[in-house]
Amino acid sequence: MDLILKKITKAYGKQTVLDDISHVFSNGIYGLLGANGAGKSTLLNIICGVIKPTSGNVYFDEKIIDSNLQFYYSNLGFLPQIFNYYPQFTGLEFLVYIGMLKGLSKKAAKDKGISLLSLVGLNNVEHKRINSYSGGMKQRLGIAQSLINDPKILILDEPTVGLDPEERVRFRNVISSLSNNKIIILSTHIVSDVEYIADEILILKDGKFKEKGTAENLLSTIKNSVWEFTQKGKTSIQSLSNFTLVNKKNTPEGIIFRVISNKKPNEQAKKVDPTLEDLYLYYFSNERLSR
Amino acid sequence: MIKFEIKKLINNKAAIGGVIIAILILGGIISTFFIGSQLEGGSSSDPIHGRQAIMLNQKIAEQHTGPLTDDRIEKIIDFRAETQNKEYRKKHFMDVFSWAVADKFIPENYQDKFYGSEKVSRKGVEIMPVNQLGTVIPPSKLKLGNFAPWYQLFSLMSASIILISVLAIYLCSSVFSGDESKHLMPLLLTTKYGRTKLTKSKLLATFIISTTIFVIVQLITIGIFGKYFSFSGWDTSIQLNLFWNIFNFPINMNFMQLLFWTIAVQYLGLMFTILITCFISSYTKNSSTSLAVSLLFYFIPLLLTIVFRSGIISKLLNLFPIVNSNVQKFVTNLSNPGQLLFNNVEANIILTSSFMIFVAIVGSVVVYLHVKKEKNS
Repeated sequence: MDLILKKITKAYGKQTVLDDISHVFSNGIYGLLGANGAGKSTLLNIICGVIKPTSGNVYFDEKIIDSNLQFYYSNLGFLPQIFNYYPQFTGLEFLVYIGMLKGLSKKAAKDKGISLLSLVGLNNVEHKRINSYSGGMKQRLGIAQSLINDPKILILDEPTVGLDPEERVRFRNVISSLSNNKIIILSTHIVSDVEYIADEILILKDGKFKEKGTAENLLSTIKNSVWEFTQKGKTSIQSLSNFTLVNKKNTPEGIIFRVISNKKPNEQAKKVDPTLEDLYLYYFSNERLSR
Repeated sequence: MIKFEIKKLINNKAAIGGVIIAILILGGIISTFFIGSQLEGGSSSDPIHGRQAIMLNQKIAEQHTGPLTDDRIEKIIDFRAETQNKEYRKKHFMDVFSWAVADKFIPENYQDKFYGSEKVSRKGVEIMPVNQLGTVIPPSKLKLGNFAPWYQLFSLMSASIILISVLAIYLCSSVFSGDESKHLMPLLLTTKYGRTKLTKSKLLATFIISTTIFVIVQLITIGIFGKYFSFSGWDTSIQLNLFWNIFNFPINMNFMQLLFWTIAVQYLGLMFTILITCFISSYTKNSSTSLAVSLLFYFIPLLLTIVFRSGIISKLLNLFPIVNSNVQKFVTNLSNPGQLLFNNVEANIILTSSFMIFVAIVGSVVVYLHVKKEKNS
């Protein structure tokens, strides 16, 4: 069962946020990369049927999702970008509540809730009120709730916000283990979240998918544009203004600059293998500068 | 799911604080209308006061209970003259029953003569015949009895229903907007039952909460009333509550019947109020806004009655709970059909009840459909 976006456009007044987007999602992990405000959340909310597109449709199982929302929602798990919890609920109660809303019996929701809390490492606090949870624990609870109905489609909007490095690794492992029979779309602006686990990366810019493909394919598009060079002493800002600075590292030999440029920035510069972070900056650094 | 919805609404500090404040206010209302009533006599230094005064008032009223006849009125006034002279005046005892009868049946120009400067005197004091009272029902078919405690009960119920409604609004106003302000709507609306069963559960939760508050408050107040005043006078005709001027109320009804009737009308009004609150909550983005708008909507008809004292708008305002939950005002309006839309009591009662039921049903259907179709454009 594929999830299909057909000519999705979303405009708020004169401002077009999403412009004629089409894509077919099959089982696998999709990383949606974009700068803040690029329209990632809008797109995910449209996919979830929370926001109405100005034009275009979302199809699941070859039917427009609006034609049978209950069926669609019984196959959907969603972690919105921002949401709070009911502070008076315990973690397990919250999962039982969401589970029942997703059509599970109370017992099934409780059993599933206990196993998911264990999966996200919250089993020792399952009976504690959510208001005693840290930010990272709440986020893990959010991930658990999105999985409670064993969804065919899993939409995660900025799922790693608030997670520490260890929690992030755990999250990536959990998601990877689920990818065989699910469509997982996760939006992020943290490149490392998708670098190792995404089967396909979609770069959303100016309301369109600027690039899409595997990490390898996308990296090949900037294969000749990433450079490193070492400079001793002070470097004027002006001399760096012609290209995108990725990184600057102090070493005993001098400062190593990593830059993105279509032309060789200077004589000492050497071409290096690009990373996904370079790719991200390649697409979004100008946008960020213009903000 | 209803259990969860109830927990969301009442298991928080703000709700518990609201309930505690409401309990304190209810205590104040009970104290004002029951403990501080005229029936308790004067100050605690008076020889007859408190419980003893209540029992004595009850005894006097029960002694004179029966059909409204000239003979009975005369006997009551004679009794008043005699007992005031003998002991009650000295003891500063307020015999509420005979005082009210004398006040109503002795014309104003004879009042000074009756009470005299030193002694209460029947000599030369005329008494108004009962057929001049202006009752629609023949006087002999009306029963006079211990009406004063019932007056206190209905006054209290008119105040307590406002407390019940405000507390119910306070607790239930966040039923939809609370989820919205916590940004939980995208999550809830993308679940299988988020647009259907959840809405029903929310509506049922507010129904259970408001019904529970209503039942508890009524049980407390009627229980205390029964304990404090007993139910003496329950079969007295409501027209012969001499503190209300509803002699031309056209239906033969006693206080017990009026009590059930009041409970039914107030409960309908509460359901109307709560479903309007749910409606407002489903269209607002945060709890404070829905609380403020709901309270405004609840109270505004009362404020408008000050502006519109007659005419069609005034008549329409009588359909709203804040106006018709005041027992005295409602029965007074029903006694003066010009105040309501129809010239017939039954038609007005049916209209008022139907209006509240209709709005409550339409309100819930609109809320259900609104949530079902909710999608940000």
